[in-house]
Amino acid sequence: MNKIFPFLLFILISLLSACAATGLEGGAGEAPVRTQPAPTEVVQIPVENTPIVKRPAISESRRLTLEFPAKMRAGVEGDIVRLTLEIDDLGNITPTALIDGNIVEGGVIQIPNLYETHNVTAEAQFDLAGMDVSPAQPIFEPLTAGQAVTFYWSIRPPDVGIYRGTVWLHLNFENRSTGEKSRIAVSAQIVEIEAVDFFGLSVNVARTSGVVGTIVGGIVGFPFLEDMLKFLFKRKKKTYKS
Amino acid sequence: MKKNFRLMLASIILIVSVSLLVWGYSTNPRETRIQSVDSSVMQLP
Repeated sequence: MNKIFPFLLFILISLLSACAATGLEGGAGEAPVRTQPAPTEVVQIPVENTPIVKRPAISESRRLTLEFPAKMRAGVEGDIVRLTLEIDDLGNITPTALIDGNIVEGGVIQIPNLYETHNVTAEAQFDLAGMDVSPAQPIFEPLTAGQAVTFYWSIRPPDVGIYRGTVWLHLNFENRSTGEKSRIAVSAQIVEIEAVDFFGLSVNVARTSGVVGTIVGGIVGFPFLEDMLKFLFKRKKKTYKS
Repeated sequence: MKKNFRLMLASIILIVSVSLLVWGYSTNPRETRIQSVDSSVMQLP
């Protein structure tokens, strides 16, 4: 008993001192008071701005349309190949994903606009071995914001056969301040064009034969047409003699 | 008999001739390819 008493006294003194230190005033019958938490000191931690390098880009999505004749007549006839780089109808820089039928749309990405810092030029070339392509050299068109660029080639297959080639599209960038130039390939599309004839007949022969044959067939097949032509010729001769 | 032969001959000539004309003056079948070019593609290398 003598050993326990000092121990209990020590605990009691400790509890009282602890209550006094924390400032709690807990009287019997008093409602507990909710104390505001002590304001904590805001410490500004210096954070180094680590630069997130975002390469400048063209802030618009575009649509590349290539139109060419898949089959054409060999010989004298030519045709047109057209390549258009236009603004996409849904052209924006908001990334959109389609997952299980639900459209998930992300935030707008802020990318430095290339048009403000660089001169952008679209370069297109049509390589088609064996076929006459005009112009054969690369074509350059300045690319500006919101504007479409169109390239045209005139092609003519000299002989019958299958011609394969590539339509190239590059973008050239020139820094306005430093003059530094760079070039990227945007598209390389393989094109196959078949040049045909009409069972060995060229275009001109086929057209001429068609016209002559139609006239001959008309005369042979319709007797009234023959009579009409004879009548007309006779009338002309009579008027000429008189 | 002679008339029938003549009509048949005319029909053959007309069919062949019209076929040649249609082939000679028809427009070439054209192929169109549309490719989407994302803005991320068109950036500095």
